[in-house]
Amino acid sequence: MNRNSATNTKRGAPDMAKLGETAFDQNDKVSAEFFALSYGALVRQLIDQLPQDEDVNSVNQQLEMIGQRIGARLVEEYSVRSGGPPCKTFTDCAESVTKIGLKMFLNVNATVSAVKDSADTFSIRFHDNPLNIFVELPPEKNMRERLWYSNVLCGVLKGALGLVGYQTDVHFMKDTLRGDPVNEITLRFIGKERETFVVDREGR
Amino acid sequence: MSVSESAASFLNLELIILLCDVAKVYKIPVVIDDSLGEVVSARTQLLDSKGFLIGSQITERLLVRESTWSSTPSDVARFVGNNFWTAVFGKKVDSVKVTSNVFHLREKNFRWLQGFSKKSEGSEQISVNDAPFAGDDHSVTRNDVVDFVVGMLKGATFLLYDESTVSVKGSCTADGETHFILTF
Repeated sequence: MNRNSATNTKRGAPDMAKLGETAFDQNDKVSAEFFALSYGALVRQLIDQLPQDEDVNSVNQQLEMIGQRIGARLVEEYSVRSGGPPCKTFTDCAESVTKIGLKMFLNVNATVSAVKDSADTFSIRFHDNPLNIFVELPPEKNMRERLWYSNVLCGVLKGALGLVGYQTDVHFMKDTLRGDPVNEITLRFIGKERETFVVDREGR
Repeated sequence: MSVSESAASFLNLELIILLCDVAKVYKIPVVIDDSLGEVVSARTQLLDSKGFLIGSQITERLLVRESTWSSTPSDVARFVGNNFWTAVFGKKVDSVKVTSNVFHLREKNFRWLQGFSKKSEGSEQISVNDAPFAGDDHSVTRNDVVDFVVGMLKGATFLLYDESTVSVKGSCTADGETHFILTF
């Protein structure tokens, strides 16, 4: 691990994983079990109020929206406390959000790699997911095939990056709850907003 | 195993917002709380019941690590102020005062309320933009957060006190202090 880390680190560039560990260590922390139980209650509530029995995709969408709001709040703390370097390229952003952001807030050890033949798409992989430590997806309503239980994470990444000007498309590709060996999220950068003092969304 | 306190507090705020939205369309009969002589709203009932569930679940997880457990009021209050508070809020409760079997837990600047204005009790609110339920009022007040935490404390104390009921009341003051009173 150290050797790989050294290999991947450019000369003089900060060790991202180390920054993530330091930022996490400096946090006030709560029980991961409490976090998982709270999230489980949220997902259960969304499922219980489904207007149509089979409309599981609306749960995925709502989880992403909730995550975007959370991400927009967390990025403020990230900016102040993480010690992360400025993001000048898509690669910088992907590495920072993965190795510092996910570690700092969720204690997730994730890897990030560029998708082959693409300059704007990255694959984020992690084994341990603090959101789903008490979860089994039931066969009813095709949950196992259609619910991305931890879709809030996609929203968190999208919301955080959106607040610093990067438009992204983030979605789950693999989920250990579905029997995959690893959790995988694809992060695709759509573009960067030009910095203006007044952002007029309707006029864009 | 742990996560950052801020991730958990933002997540729980979102859960509270969701429950407040649900309460608007929920058909729950209003209940007269005999001890207060007050009508308990659907909103308060929902926050209380979901908080109860989470509070009892996390307390059950915490008790797994306790080799022995005796359920005197002092032990329960100490466990809540130390173990429960640390697991849920990332710190021990600021202070505990005891009178007979009434335990007064006080937070000078309660973390889950730091996003709210302190100007007046109950009337200020946090607005939620881009909410999924377009057109609805999405305001959440400090009292909603307190109601949810009261529910959690009821769930915790129910488990800790051998499934006997402990009275739990919560309030927040104009100068930003938050109080939880456990009466055994």
